[in-house]
This record gives sequence, structure tokens and C-alpha cells, in this order.
Amino acid sequence: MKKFLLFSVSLFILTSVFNISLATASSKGGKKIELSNFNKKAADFVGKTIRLQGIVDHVCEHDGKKMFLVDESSDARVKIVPNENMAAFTQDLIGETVEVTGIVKEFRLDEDYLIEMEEKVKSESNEESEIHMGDGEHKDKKEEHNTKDKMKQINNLRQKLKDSGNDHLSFYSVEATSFKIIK
Amino acid sequence: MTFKWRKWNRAIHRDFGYFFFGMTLIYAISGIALNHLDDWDPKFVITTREIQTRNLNKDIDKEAVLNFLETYGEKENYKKHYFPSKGKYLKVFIKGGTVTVDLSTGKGVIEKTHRRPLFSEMDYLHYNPIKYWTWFADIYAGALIVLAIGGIFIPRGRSSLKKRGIWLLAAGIIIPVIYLLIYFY
Repeated sequence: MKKFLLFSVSLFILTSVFNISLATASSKGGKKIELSNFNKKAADFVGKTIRLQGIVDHVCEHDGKKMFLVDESSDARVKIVPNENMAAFTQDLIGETVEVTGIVKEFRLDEDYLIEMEEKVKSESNEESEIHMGDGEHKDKKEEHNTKDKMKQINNLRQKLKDSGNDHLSFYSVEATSFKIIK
Repeated sequence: MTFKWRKWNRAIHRDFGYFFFGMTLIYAISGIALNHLDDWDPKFVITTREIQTRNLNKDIDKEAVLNFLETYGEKENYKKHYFPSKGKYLKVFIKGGTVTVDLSTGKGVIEKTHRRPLFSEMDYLHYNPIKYWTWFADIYAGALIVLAIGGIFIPRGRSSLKKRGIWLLAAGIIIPVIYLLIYFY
């Protein structure tokens, strides 16, 4: 029984570590796209594997489940998320040049989504008001600004959507299957 | 031969307790930390220093950036630099932070991030960094259910579930129910 337990635990740890190292070490396959051209070319590569090189500009501080790549020659900024077999990104990566291999993902934003966002912001704002009113306090100005900022963002997106002449706006990101640090 | 369920229950409770001791501390301590995110950042200690620079523009080379960093004792920490927003800013990546300078005004900020020991690691695990950890965390959650249910049947006599235990158990259930009645329904 003891031997079986020891064997199972060891096997579990070994498979996990093996899978993690595979995810970070291998980076073969996929067409290399220049980061500066990503937004122009991404539509043709949705669902396909590509390679992308750039400097890590930001890693999500909370859970490391997203990072942004930039390059020195343009203002391009590409969102990278790890796939389920990859560990979350760490803050140490900021400032490193990395080559990411991953699948291009498209997020479509349409009027329905904007209405949903608007409703959410409004309801959050109302809930906050109720809580503060219940305490007999004034609504925090910072929260008021947050709500205004969010509404402004939504209106900007709505304008962009209108200007595009399409029924949706496309936002592209890469779901990383692996990456390596370029020295 | 009768099945000695009490003996097995005690053994499981004891061994699960030992095995998941570390996990319990990880989730309990990081859980408290995450409950108070508005008051402090459990993962990092972030320090910022405002600076006023001169003679920096979007055409400067690495040498000039290194000279500029030397003024603030950060030359050895240089990693890379670039000029975001069409050359409006200079952003320098240094070990453990960044230096950002608005090239039109010369005003800048050195931001350095240090990991908070222990909390940083616990917080990282709390956020499920990879699916294999999620599997282990699910096993732990399952074990907690076994520990909770098995635990109430361990005491015997005056402290058993039928005597003192039932009242404490009921009190522990009533508290979340009261919160639900007030705030949820």
C-alpha cells in the first residue's frame, strides 16, 4: 500500500514536471510573424500556430495569466495568454526578449457585447451607491471616476465599431503553447 | 468479521491531516491575504521614485541610457530600453522594475518591484498557475470534505456529535446561513 502510494505520488509529480518543461522548452513550428505586423496579419492566422518575438512589457501581477509583448521599432502591443499546459508567466520575464509559439485567437466585440458591458457597469455602480447610501456616506469620488472612465471606454469602442462599418471589432491575441527567452 | 469504520476513519483523518498540512496553511494564509487586497499587495512591495531628467530624447543610444541610469545607481540593473507611444516616452527595463520618462517634460518614475517572501509564493499557488496544480488543489478540496465529514464522527462520549458536537456544528452552519439571508436573498 505504502509502495503504491509513493509510486502514484512520484508519477504525478514526474508527469507534471515533464509536461511543464515540454511547454517551456519546445518552440518548433508555426510561421514567424513580425510583432509590428501582427495586427495586420492576425486575421489570416486565426486558429493557426505562429511564432512571435518581442520584449515582455507587462505581466499580469495578480495571476500571471497574461503578458504583453512590444517591439522597439513600432507601437505594436500583443497580448499573450498561456495555454492550459503552461504555467502562469512570472514578473521576472518583464524586459526579456522572448519568442512565443502559439495559436492566434480572435475576440469579436459587437453591439450586444457593448450593451452587456454597459449594463454591468451601471449595475455595479448602483450596487456601490446602495452600499454607500446605506452607510450614510457619500459615494466615493474615485468610484465615480471609474464608472465614468468605463462608460467613456464603452462609448469609444462604440464609435470605433460605427467607424469600422462592420458589425464587430476584432481583437487578436496569442494563446501560447511554449516560449523561450532569447539572450 | 465486522468492518471497523471508526478505526479507518481515524486513520484517514490522521494521514490526510498530516499530508495536507502544507496545503491548508498555503490556502489559509493566502486566503487571508487575498481578503485584504484593498489594504495591501500580498505579492509585491512596489516602490516608486520620481525623477527629473535632462538631455534625453528619442534618438539617444544605449550608452546614453546607461549614463542616465548611472545617476540613479541603476546602471548595473539595465536590461533593455525602447521608446513607446511614437517616441513620446523612454521606457527602460531594469532588474526588478522599470524606468519611464516622459521625454517632453523630462519627468520620470523609477518603479521597483520586490517579491514579498512567502506570501508571493503562496499567492502564486492560490491563483492556480497551471492545470496540474489545479488537479492537486481539487484533490485537496476533496480531502477537506472527507476531513470535515470524518472529523465529526471521531469524538465519542460527552464530546460526540450527538451531545456537544451537534450544537457547535449547527452554530457553524447557522452563521453562513444568516449572512446569506441578510445579503444574498
